Amino acid sequence: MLSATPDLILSGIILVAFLAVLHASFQLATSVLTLISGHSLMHERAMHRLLTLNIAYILGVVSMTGLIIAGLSAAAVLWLPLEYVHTAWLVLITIALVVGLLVMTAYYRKGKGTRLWIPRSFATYLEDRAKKTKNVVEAGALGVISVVAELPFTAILMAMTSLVLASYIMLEDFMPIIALYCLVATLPLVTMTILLAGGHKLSRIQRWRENSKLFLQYAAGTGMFAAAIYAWVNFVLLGAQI
Amino acid sequence: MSAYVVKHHTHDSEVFDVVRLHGSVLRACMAVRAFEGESHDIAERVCKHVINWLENKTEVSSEDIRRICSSKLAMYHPEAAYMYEQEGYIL
Repeated sequence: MLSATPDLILSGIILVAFLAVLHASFQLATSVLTLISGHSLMHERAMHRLLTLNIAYILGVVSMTGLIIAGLSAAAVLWLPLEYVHTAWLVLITIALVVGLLVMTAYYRKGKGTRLWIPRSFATYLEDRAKKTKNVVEAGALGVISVVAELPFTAILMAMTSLVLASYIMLEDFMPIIALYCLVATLPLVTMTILLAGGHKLSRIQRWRENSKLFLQYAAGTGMFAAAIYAWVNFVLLGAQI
Repeated sequence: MSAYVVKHHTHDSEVFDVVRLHGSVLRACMAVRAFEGESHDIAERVCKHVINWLENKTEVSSEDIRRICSSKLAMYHPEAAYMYEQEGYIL
């Protein structure tokens, strides 16, 4: 760990919280949850099925997200020499800028609905799996797959979080910060499940998602630019002076 | 009535399957929390409309079926029609 000032630690935690908000704006996990919810509602004991499958799915997403960040953090602690931290930041900032541009140009497909960038064959596979999901284990596994499928866009967020943890945070504080990240990143899924359990219609949620897709896309893209600039100023420019 | 349906993506052709259409409409209705009886009733009515529309046709595209079905479903349950239209466009 670098000898970080309290200001730098605070900057790191603010960045992690912001990255988690950006993670929450990515929609693949929400789309899969929409499909699972739609199919849960047409079965007997719909509400029980909806709640159990959605909760299992969210737990799958949380555990995979947490594991990836913990794994990357451990790798950075073990294998990233302190003198390369600034170089690592420069690499991640460059990737974040490129991914931000990709999000703004290619995240959603043109046309109606909320179709995402993923290859159609894989989208069909995920749709089929969501339709066939009947028990909590399958729902949890689908949550894990959703996180992996979204990695081309979210890996950079998790990598930046891991670098903050490995560089500026004490080892014993890793878990609360990873938990904070997972909590914020899965807030849309939790909110959606609460809304559905409270009697809201799936069509209203999907309509909102469809109407807001451009806003979410540009918010995520510009957010990545903002995160990259914030990291560059705080951890490359100011961090180098410490 | 034995119209053939040409699939949108694969261009494969198959005989129109009313049971499958009934299932799709039923799913859309129940996804927006329509009651089960109401959903079956709506699905049956919509299927009758589609069968009438297919009466003098030999080959149609799956997109045609989707469009007609969606417009008829919107008469009975607009929210369900929206969810029906979204099928295949969520992910």
